[in-house]
Amino acid sequence: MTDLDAKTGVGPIHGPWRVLLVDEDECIGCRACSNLWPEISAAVGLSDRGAKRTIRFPRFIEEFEARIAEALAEACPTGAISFGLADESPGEESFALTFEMARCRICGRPFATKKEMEYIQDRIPAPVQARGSAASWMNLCTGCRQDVGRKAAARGLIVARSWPRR
Amino acid sequence: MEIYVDLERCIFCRACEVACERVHGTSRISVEAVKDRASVPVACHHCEAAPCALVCPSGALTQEEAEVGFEAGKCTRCGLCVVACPFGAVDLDPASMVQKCDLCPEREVPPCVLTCPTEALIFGDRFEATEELRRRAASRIAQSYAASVGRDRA
Repeated sequence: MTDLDAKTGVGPIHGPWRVLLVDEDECIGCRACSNLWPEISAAVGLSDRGAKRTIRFPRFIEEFEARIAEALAEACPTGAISFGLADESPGEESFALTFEMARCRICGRPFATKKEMEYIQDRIPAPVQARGSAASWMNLCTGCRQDVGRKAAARGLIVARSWPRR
Repeated sequence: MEIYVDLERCIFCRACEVACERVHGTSRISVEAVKDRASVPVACHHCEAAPCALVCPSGALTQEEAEVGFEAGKCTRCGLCVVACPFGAVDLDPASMVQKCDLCPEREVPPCVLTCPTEALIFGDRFEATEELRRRAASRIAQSYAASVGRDRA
């Protein structure tokens, strides 16, 4: 019996039932859990109120091997995933968390959740974030970051090559 | 060691992309033209204090002096490195693994550099690379000076 089994209780037929818990405040809407376990689905959807990412979690995890459950909790960068016990069987119940997406300043494409951006901003030194000053890279999508970098790198070369030839 | 680019020499042939794809299955270097007058390859810069390594929660991306290493086995594919890279040089296909230049540690020289027909890609530490770039810039100036003197005489 592993530690996790001891904590969450064994016995698939009668309760208590092992359930998945996600801390809504801690979860930043990254894709670590959904990439590890396909039953958790992450979708970026566009609604009237702007870009949203919705992650849907199943509540019931009894059929889970403890090993997978442990990996799931370990993969979560913010420790938002934990396991609890429920007296009632959760059955097919699922729950969803929805996240506001940040849009690229240039192309308008939603590219990361706002909470992902906060997580990243907390970990990158301010001078690195301010690189490019007014045209900060932080609120650009991957493709536009590449484009901005390319244009900046090629600026001098383009001027030289636009010079009329004699 | 890192891959540096001599933009004067890049001819937008994308041979580096093909070489990278041959080795890794997906290209981790991307070349695009700018205003039809220049082309710029973009790949991992192997930053000092690399933002991708700072945000990586699982320790798959690591800062090793002048290189940023990537260990696929530790990666959870959370995608935070993609959002943290200032250059847009990290890629995550939902169906696959994080794609980032690892400088091909198992090889002496990365295939993109070996393949580049104009030697626009330079593999070396920053001192070797700047020395080579300076030498090339000086030789270009000397050539254009010689050409202009020749033109005046004619």
